[in-house]
Amino acid sequence: MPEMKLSSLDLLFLPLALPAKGLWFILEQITDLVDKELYDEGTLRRKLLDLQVLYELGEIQDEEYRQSWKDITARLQFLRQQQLSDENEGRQGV
Amino acid sequence: MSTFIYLYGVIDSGLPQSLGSVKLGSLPREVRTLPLEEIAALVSETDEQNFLPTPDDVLTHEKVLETAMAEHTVLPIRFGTVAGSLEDVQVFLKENYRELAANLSQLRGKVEVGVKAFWHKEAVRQEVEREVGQLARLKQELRQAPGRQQEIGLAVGQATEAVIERWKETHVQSFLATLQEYSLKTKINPPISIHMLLNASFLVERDQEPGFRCRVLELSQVYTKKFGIKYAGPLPPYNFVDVRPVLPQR
Repeated sequence: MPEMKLSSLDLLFLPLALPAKGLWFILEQITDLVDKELYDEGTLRRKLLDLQVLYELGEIQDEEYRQSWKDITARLQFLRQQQLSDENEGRQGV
Repeated sequence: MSTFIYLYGVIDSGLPQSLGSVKLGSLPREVRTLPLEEIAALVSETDEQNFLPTPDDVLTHEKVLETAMAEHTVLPIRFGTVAGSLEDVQVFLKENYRELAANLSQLRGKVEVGVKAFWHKEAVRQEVEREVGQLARLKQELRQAPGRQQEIGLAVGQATEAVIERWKETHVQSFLATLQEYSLKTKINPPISIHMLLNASFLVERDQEPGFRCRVLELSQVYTKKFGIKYAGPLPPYNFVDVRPVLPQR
């Protein structure tokens, strides 16, 4: 996982402030992070989880959190609409 | 507007019943069972076909499963699973009845717990210092030769990764081995952040969960200088059953 490379100790912060069963925990639990058929959707879900971890750690503030959440879910929405329209086109072709 | 059926999970009860009202997709919705013989799907009506993982809906999904867990064995279904109609859910239950019933009986009386370990920044830093030499000395060198910033940063980064890898192979392994003895099954997932040393789920007997929790707390005292532990449970057994209804698209 290349995004896990550390290049500087400045990157390190203490994650123990995370609540034991915060939304970060539940998100990981109940959503599919690696969906092979929907790879991009998996990536977006992972981004949501990263965002949640950062927010619950206090690394980002309310406004940035809300904005990023909107951005990522909007991309998820877009992706799903695209898949739906792809499927519909496929049906017409048959 | 058409009505869809949101699926939370499958339980080991054939009784038609209501589990009360929850907020799903910003509206209050009743959660009820859709029984077939000895099992039932947990469902709510909804106007939406596509659920995005908003904090409210994610928490609702979790809350419904935990409420059901208080009295039943639950096979959790992933967030955002929506059927076109109650008939589609009936068909899903019917076609997969034997497998669902078998999973329910295997998981009866058992719960999942999550254990995640995060390394302490300061403890890693101290060990890196011992390996790479004094960080202070590195900083000194950096001031004298600013061009070497990348090179030194990389050396520190590699040393940090090496320390974390070694901890995973030693301390984390022995921590894990002890917990495996006290659990029925273990599932190791990939870490979700660079700070995570261990991302594990355990299946335990429900009545032994408090004891398991104590064991984790005791062990975490042993490693407290190196890493911190997050414990959550009892949880629906997502990591020990994978129910993915194949539903017709409407």
